[in-house]
Amino acid sequence: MNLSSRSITVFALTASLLLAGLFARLLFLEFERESTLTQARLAASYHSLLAGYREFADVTSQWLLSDEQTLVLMQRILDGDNVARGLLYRTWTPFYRSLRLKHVRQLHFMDAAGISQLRMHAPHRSGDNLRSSRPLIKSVIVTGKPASGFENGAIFSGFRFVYPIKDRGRLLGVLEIGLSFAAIRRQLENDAETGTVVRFLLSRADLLRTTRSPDESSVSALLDSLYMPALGNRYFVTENLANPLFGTPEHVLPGYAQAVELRIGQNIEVQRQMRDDGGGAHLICTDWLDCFQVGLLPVKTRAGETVAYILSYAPVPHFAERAWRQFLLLVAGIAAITLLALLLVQVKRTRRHMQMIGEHVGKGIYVINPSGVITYINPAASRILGYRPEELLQQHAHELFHAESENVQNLPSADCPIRKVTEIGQVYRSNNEVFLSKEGTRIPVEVTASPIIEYGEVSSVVTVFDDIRERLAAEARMSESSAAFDQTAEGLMITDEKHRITQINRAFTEVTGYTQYDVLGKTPAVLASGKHPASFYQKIYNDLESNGVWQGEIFNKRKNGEIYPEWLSISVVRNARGNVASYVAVFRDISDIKEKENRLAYLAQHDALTGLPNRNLLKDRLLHAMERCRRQGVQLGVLFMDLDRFKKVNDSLGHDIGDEMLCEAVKRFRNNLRVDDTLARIGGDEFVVLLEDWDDINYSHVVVDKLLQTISNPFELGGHEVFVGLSIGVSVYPDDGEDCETLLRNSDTAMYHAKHAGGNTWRRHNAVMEADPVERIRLETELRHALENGELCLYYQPKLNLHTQQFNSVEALVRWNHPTRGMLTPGDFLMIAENGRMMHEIGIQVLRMAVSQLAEWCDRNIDIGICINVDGDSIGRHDFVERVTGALNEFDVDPNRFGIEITENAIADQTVRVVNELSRLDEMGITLSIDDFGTGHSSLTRLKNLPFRILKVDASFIRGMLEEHSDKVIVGATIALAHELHLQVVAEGVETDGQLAELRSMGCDAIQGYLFARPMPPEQVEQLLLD
Amino acid sequence: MNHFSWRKIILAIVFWPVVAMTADLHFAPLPMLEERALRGQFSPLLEHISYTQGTPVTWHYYPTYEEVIDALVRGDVNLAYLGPLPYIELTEQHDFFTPLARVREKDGTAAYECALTHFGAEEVPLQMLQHTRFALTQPLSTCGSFAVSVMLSRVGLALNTHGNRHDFTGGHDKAALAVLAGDADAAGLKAAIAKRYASLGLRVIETAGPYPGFAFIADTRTLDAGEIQKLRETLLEFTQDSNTESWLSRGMISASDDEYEQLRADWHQVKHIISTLK
Repeated sequence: MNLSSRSITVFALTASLLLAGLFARLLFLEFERESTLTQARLAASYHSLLAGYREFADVTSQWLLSDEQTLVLMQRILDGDNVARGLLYRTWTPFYRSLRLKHVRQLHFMDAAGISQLRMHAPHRSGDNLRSSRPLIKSVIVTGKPASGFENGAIFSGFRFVYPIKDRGRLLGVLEIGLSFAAIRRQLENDAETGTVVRFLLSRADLLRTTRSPDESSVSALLDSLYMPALGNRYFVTENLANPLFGTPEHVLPGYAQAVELRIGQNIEVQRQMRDDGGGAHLICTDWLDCFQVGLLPVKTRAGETVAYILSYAPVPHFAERAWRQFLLLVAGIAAITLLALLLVQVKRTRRHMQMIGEHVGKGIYVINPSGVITYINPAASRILGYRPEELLQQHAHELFHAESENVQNLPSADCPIRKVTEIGQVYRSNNEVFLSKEGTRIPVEVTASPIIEYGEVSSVVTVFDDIRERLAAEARMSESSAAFDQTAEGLMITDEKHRITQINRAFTEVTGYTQYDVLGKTPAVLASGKHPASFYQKIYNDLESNGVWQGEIFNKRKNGEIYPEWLSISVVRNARGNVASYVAVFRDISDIKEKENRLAYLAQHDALTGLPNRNLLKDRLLHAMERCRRQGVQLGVLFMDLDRFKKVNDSLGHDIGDEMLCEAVKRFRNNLRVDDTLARIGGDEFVVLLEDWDDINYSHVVVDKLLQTISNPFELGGHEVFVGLSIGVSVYPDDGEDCETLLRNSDTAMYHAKHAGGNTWRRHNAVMEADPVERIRLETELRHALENGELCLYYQPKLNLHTQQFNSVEALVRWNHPTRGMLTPGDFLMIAENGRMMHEIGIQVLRMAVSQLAEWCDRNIDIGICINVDGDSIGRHDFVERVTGALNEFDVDPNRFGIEITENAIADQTVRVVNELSRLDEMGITLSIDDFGTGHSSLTRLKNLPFRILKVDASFIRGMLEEHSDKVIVGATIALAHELHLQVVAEGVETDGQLAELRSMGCDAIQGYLFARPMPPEQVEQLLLD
Repeated sequence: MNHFSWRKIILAIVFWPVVAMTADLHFAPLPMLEERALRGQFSPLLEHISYTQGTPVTWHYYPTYEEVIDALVRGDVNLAYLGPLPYIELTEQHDFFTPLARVREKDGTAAYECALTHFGAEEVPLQMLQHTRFALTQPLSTCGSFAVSVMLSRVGLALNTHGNRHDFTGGHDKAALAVLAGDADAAGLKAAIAKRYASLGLRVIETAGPYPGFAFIADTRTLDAGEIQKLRETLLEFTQDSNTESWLSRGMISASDDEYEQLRADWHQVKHIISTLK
């Protein structure tokens, strides 16, 4: 709480206390006023009573003393006649009884000396002289005139009305009519409100003085029996109401009497008044809710001496209810004050907060009065405008810095829209205002000018403005970014850290069909196709968590329900604290690519003419067939079939007839095979059949015979009756081989044996047909020696760039310069090298020889690059990249002139690490090529995301592309797809001009083959380049 | 030892602790005043008794003479303050009450005389009290119907013969004032009180007595001799603060039943008359 709030709180507390005091004072005054009124009524009642009694006493005395007989009896009494006293008693008794009913206690006859002669209330007591102790009696005796007033008596105190008794002018005696105070008290109580107690307080000292007796103790005892201490002190006594003289046994004081009287006696004001012989009204409380109106009325003697008091007290009427009502009013008042204080504190705080906000807010704020003069300016406004606050205060804002409004310059002050707010009283907003700084800089600002309306009139205008230079620049940048975001061809989707989509681009909508209204705030699950298990998505999240990135193919679902493939890359965006801020997903619809890919895959695995599986698919089928047979424990027959004399048909009747014949032959084969039996075409007129359950001779041998028989039947082709035969070689798994190559090679060998035997027959492979294993071992030994002796060398086959018609690079091909067998090609020894686990060593030597050659050519300014072939095992090694970079560094070769060719199959199963390693090579500038493309099962879309720049189409497709339509289609599709993926295409094995022309028409980028250059030693390469 | 004796011994042994303890005291005064006033007068004495006897004194108040007598007979009360006449009436029927102490009169004695009075200058012979209105104090007041009957009987008169009639005024002064006021022709009252009204012409015709004054009596059924003696000593030694106006402050003298013989003789003489007055 700040100082001001504390002051308000203190004020509220003080006000509450004052209010409480005021309410209490008002209540007290009200009660005091009532007490005073009660007191006044008591006094009035008291005096009225006395007046009435005085009148009554006057009449009574006149009536008594007018009786002649009474005077005679009085005279006789004075003469000492006791019987006369008795007679007077008897005469007065009826009358005295009636006086008693009027509360008159004393009817007393005294002689002229003041000696008592007859007390009607105590007739046995007479003879005592009262002149000295009773001033009233003395006065009447002396003056001969009636006198009245309060006077203590020997026993009773009360009002006395004393009359002279005269007989023919002579004072015969004195008649006293005494009114006991108990009578007055009872009468006052009757006249007062219910519950009012009237007590008669007498001075104990006065009583003792009046009741003169030689036996002081007896007097004291008498007083104690008649009176009791009053007000808790020993100075005053009051009538003992238990005494029949003053009360009745039934006369019981209310329960609060004792406590009230005690409190009255302790009241200092009451004590003071009694000391001063005064009286008054008081409000005295014995408890919180027990308050009493107290009246104190002095009783004076005729001489004016206060000898007694009339004390009255009564509960304040409805005190508790009234106090409670007043308390509720007080609570309401305090609540109102508290509320007001809270409001003030709140207002103060709000004002303070507003001031703090104004001082700390980044926006400029200034306030002008209706004249346009600045009355307040915040620090931000000063900073933006470059003025010190005192330079701005009391200045005309418009004239000082308002340079332009809504593209209007030099606007007159009267037309200033901000100032006009003071006139029209409506908020003015504009983001097209220009303020002028002190230095003259034009500052585009956004302005909101709001009127401050007080008492129905605009008292001032508060203007909030913001320097929007940065924002305008940011908006411009944003606009550009937004355009780029929307214009990009790839779909973009951004989610928050909880995977809720926050932004998409136009491509997203084009691909998925979902607009931002459909997906914003939702998760990417709306795109889920249902084709992937939960574990797939979990792996994505895991990869994102661990690597920060994930990419791959995924099937999603468009808004129209269509499922489509896409290549998706997801990146995690983290904030400064390292927490995930968002995910950015970039994807491309690869439906077309997949379709072409599938088509390509189909073509890669099937024969375009007959639709039969080609060699690739055959191998796959063969693998699966071997696995099934192994599990079932049966044999698998591999039938290698070659049409006899087909080349002759082809040459004589043309390729079309040849193709027709092939198709017819396939039909005949089909008709004699089971549906599940695989029939593949692996060459021009070469077919392979896989017969499971070969050991079922009743079936397998019959099938073989049927196949021979069905082909031997004449073919009707183009009006010609053609006869061909069929040679079949059979190898059996597992007896003749346990892998595809062996089984096919052995069945091929057997087929040649069948053909050598005259054709139209079949042969089963046997051991005699196998090569000599001793020879293989000898070669392996020699190869090891060759590695040690440096017998390996490199031949280089140039690649011709069809766009530039220049040889840009050469492919290094290993050769073994065998001491006795001459120069051997890889086909002669690589199998042995693989079996002998020498491929890695060969690769190292090839790398070093190639880099060394490249360094030499560089030194000699021969501008050509070199590519080497690397097998899967080598690139999978952890030190592969270091070995390559080491070699390049060692020979100081520019990586941009070096290339690595990796077969499609070698790259297919590599790990992410290897791919990342290859990316490093790519980043160094090394050209990576996919070799023998089309022989494997690679996905083009995957290759697209690998760091390859060149795709080399396998020579088998090139060789057959002019004859085999399917090969041509494959080559064309491969080139088109590669280009779409921004890959250059090199065609391998180009041997003819026709192939060259076809490739050129397909847009192939480069060729490699015997048409231009065979593999050659480096010197010839140099010569070729020179030519 | 017969069976009855054995039973007494067994009971004595069993109840010995109870018997040995001081019996509880239950006190009742004659209803001369209203209870609060009476209680105020007797409280100092009863507290003193309780202190010296070591046992609480239970206060009982009965609004009529008869109820006090009945309570005594029933045993509900074993200590009482009675006038002489109620004592005589009580002991006429039950002999287990004994007087302990009598309160002194103002003249210091513990006895008083009763007077038969009239108003006037001339003496009136006792025999002349025929067709007379008598003002009496209270029915069981000694100086009331009892003493007046005793005095009238001396001349063969009675309150209810020879045209006589009477009224109970409630007190000695009232009886005197009734005569002075002319409400009655004669009054029976204490002689000492009659003397106070002589200055108004009240004359004494005849006197009776002296009779014992008011006395504390005890029930011997519940209080043994030792306790009774201790009670008597307590009463005799009781003195009150002199600055309080109380008749008890005048002190007491020891009382015995023998002192009531004259009264008892007079009672026997007139009780048949008094019984008819009731």
